[in-house]
Order: sequence, then structure tokens, then C-alpha cells
Amino acid sequence: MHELSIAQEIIRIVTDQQKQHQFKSVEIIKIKAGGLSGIDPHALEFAFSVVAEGTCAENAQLDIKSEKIKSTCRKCRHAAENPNIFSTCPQCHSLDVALEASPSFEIVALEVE
Amino acid sequence: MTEIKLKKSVHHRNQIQADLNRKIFQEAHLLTLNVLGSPGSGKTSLIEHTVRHLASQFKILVVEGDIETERDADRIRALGVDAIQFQTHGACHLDAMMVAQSLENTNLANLDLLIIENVGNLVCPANYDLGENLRIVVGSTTEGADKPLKYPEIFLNTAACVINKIDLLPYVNFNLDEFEAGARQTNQNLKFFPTSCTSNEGINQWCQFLTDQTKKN
Repeated sequence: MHELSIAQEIIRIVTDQQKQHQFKSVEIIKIKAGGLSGIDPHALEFAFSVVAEGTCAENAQLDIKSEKIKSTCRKCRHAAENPNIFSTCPQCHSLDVALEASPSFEIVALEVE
Repeated sequence: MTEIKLKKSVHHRNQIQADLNRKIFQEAHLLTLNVLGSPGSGKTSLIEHTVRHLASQFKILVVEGDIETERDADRIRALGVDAIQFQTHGACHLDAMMVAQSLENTNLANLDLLIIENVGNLVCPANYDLGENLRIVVGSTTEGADKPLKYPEIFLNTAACVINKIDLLPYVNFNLDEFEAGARQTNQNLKFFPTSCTSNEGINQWCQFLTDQTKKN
């Protein structure tokens, strides 16, 4: 649901950049999503299409690369890529697992005209 | 086509304000809680009980976040405790800017405890740091024991989880152990406080926890 706030923040960042770099339009917005960003890309695309209307990012495409959640078991030291947030060790099933995943959601680059 | 390299987080603006809020709260030696949970889990009832128990010991301010109405702030004011209502008019969560705006005209130096009740929602508030010391999740026996498995992120940076409405345990199909085990899958260090705002069970333990936390500040 908060994808709308995220989309508004993206537009704020992009229009700030436009003032700085004086480009006409944004074609692609490249985004890196941490494993724990909690942002649904489809909901974001919908929200973005609404808030981007009439801005320089009106026709921009969101290129979202999602990072995997990595985990290391503190008991057996097994390292794994977890399909989701639940941090059970796939090898020894221990719950004592250190998660390596970021809640970040970052614009890494803009392709502009 | 030209590429502009950026590395700008969409949470950057919120994080800067959250860090500033945290600094201001620390300077005022204030313990700040961000209270999260579903609509109807009993967040406001728990806060009412908390201020009733602690108002003689601590100077408390409550910030109530809701989409509309002053109802929750009125409930707190009825107990003789100051409350500020923040209406988000649609937004599903509080952010750090909203908290700063709510507190604009408040002198924090005289306060010991600031309780911020977030908008009732188990999803979106998880991603917004408000600058609080402790994130608290309020669950309840009527919501079902599988909620921590369905909404894991809300438990990630949470210090304590209140499991409310335990007076209803004989009437609802709720397994306390299952709830706790589910929440521990995302957060091993979570403390649990089973409570009832009807029978008062567990309220003393919960308030003792908060009293201990204020001493750390």
C-alpha cells in the first residue's frame, strides 16, 4: 500500500535531478531493491504510472533488480540464499540464522534524453 | 540517451528526518515507542492502560496516527494525559516527517515517555523509521496465530510484541506458542507480553518492562 509514497519519492528525486542536469525526459529508472525492501514491483508500477503523469518521467520504465536474501547459520555455518524472510537453516533447520538482506530501495541510475 | 548515476535511496529523506528525530529524543532523555499492529488489535486500549499505570511516575505524551478523526487522541485526553492527533488523510503509515510535524509546538524537555501509535496496518509502517527507541507490535488472540508468518517484516526490528486479548483464549482458536514461534522465526530476540486490557492480566509486567527501559535512557 505504501508503494504510492515510494512512487512520490521517486518522482521527487527525479525532478530534483532534472533541475540539476536539465534533461528533457527520463526513459529508464534503474532501481536496486534489497531483499527486505517489502515493496511490490507491480503495485509500484501502478502507483508510479499515476504520480508520473505530467512529469518528465511520464514515459519512464522502472527497471527493478531485486537482491536475494542471504543467510548464514550460526550453528552449522551453512550459507544459503533464502527464498523469503524466514531464516531457518536449510541444512540443520536451526532458527539461529544471521540474515544478510537490506531493506533499501535505491535509485542507482537514470537513463535520460 | 545519457545515464546519470545516482545511488539515492527512496527512504533517504525519511531516514534523515528519523535520525534527526532520534537525536532530539535522545537529547530530551525521552523514551519513544512506535506502536504498530492491525486495526482492532487493541493498540489504543493498551496505551490507555499504560498511561493509567505510568502517569503518576512519568510525564507522558501520546501521538495518535490515524487516517481520519480525533477519536483516539480524545480517549487519551480523557485520562488527563496530553495527546496529539495526526491525521494522515489516506496514507497507510506514519513517516518521520509526520512525527516531526506533530511535535513542532511541543516542548519535549519536560517529557519522559513519548508513545506514538501508528496507523493500524501490519505491512507499510514496517518500512518507516520514525526515530523511535523501541518498536512495539501489538497482536491479539482474535487475529489468528499465523499472523507472524503472514506478516513477518513487521517483527524484524521490533523489541517487544504484546499479545493482547488473552482473556478470550477460552473462546478463540488461538495457540500462543504457535504465534510466538512464528514471530521468533523472523526475530529471535523478541520479548513477548501476553496481556488483556479487559482483565488487566499482564499489564503490570508490560509496564514494568517500560519502566526498566526508561531507566536505560
